[in-house]
Amino acid sequence: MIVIKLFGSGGEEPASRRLLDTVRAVAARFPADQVRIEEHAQDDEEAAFYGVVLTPTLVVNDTIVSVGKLIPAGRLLRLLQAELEAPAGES
Amino acid sequence: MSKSGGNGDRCECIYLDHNATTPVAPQVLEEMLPYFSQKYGNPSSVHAIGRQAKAGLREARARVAALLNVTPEEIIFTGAGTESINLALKGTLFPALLGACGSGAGSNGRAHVITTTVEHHAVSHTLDYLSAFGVEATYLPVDQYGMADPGEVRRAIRPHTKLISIMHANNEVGTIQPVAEIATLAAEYGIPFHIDGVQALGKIPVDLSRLSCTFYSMSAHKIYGPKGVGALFIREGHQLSAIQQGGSQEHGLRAGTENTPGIVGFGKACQLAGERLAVDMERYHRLRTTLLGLLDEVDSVRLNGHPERTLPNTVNLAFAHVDAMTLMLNLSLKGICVSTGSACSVGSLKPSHVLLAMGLNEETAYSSLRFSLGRSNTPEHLEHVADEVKRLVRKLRLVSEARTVGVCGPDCPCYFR
Repeated sequence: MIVIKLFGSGGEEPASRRLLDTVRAVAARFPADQVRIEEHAQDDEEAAFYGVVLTPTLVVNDTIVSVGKLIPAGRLLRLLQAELEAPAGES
Repeated sequence: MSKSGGNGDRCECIYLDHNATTPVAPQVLEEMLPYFSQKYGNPSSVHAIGRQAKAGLREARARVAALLNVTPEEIIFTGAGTESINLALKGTLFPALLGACGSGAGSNGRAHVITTTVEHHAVSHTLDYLSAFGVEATYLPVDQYGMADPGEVRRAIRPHTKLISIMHANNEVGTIQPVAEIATLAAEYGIPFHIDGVQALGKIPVDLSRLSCTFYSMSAHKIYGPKGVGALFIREGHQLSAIQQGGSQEHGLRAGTENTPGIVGFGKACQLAGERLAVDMERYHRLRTTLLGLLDEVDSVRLNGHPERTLPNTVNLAFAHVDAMTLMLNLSLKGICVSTGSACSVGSLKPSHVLLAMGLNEETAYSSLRFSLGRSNTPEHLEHVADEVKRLVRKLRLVSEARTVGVCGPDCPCYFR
């Protein structure tokens, strides 16, 4: 199971909205039980834990992969595939 | 994973951000403590408890002076390295604009200062402020290592040049400036020379009996002393105007009751730094070499800064195609504290002005991370850090444009190999 956390300002910020669209589109290419998407506010407890300083911030399996930037769908797909192929504990 | 210690308050971290600040050394804290509630007198008071505090100041001043090989009378205490810099710059340039202090003769109230493009904001923002009052500033370029050229300093001198201000060592990349040559030049032209020594003090030898600068700014918290204390060396015979008015503390140059505990701590920190300097330098040099060797295994890594004329504790590396802020935050999650030179401002990041001045493009500047070593670091720490960096770089490059990673061509940035 891959857990993707998106920290942003919901639907109000264009960049966060676009990244959420990308994340949803890429996640849809995997079986539903393999990818879970969580949306977070930029100032919630999780955001403080990860040290979110800019939005959108994207976290994949507890690794921050993007801060204040968009990610092309192809690159996110490559990352998620690598996560699924990684042996347990190495992601 | 605990939700309580994610990004800041874990105490078992590997701290590699000693150029930002250092912990107060136990011996320093021990020396400070009596001055909070036992020897709490005002050093200006003439009664017994005031004299106790004054004695603490006297000893601290002697210890700071000893580290620099100058006389105690040439040291004044301030509230920060930044304040020392402000005092040196404003205290020299305001009188020059007014034609006072004997420095305005022939200048018609004009004041020009020579500095570099890689100074700390304590210098550059102060000069920005002074420009509104008519101070003219020449910002000298630096080479690819962040080093200024003394020849450029000579060429920049004008009839109304009233000050040269150049840092001893750079906080981001560690490059040590040719301050001895510039000091000789400044003396030749009779121009006061201020050195921002905040990063150099306690990391490399600083002997101001041989280095003929006029002013030297320092900060306690960079050398295992407390925050909120700085000092300024003012060479005997040189005049400076106060920038705040009030009492006559610190030879009338820094009004306000002295921060006695902090100053005593600064003195102790200087004493320790002097005793440990040779050992610390050797140790940092070995650790630095170890870290560079470990991270050399990562493809397309570039060393920012001079490979030899550098602070022994500072390593600044660009990891091509990796966003350094993202890498730094991930390392923080793993209990490893490093820093980027990027400044977070109004919801966006600005690349380091130092790295841009060295000729790096914005992408490389954004991919640069600073590791600054300290007394607590061990080779084992660095092995762990290198393992985490390698793992994260590999992962983060999956989401970046990484086609050129590992391909050494004319544009390959990994020139330190």
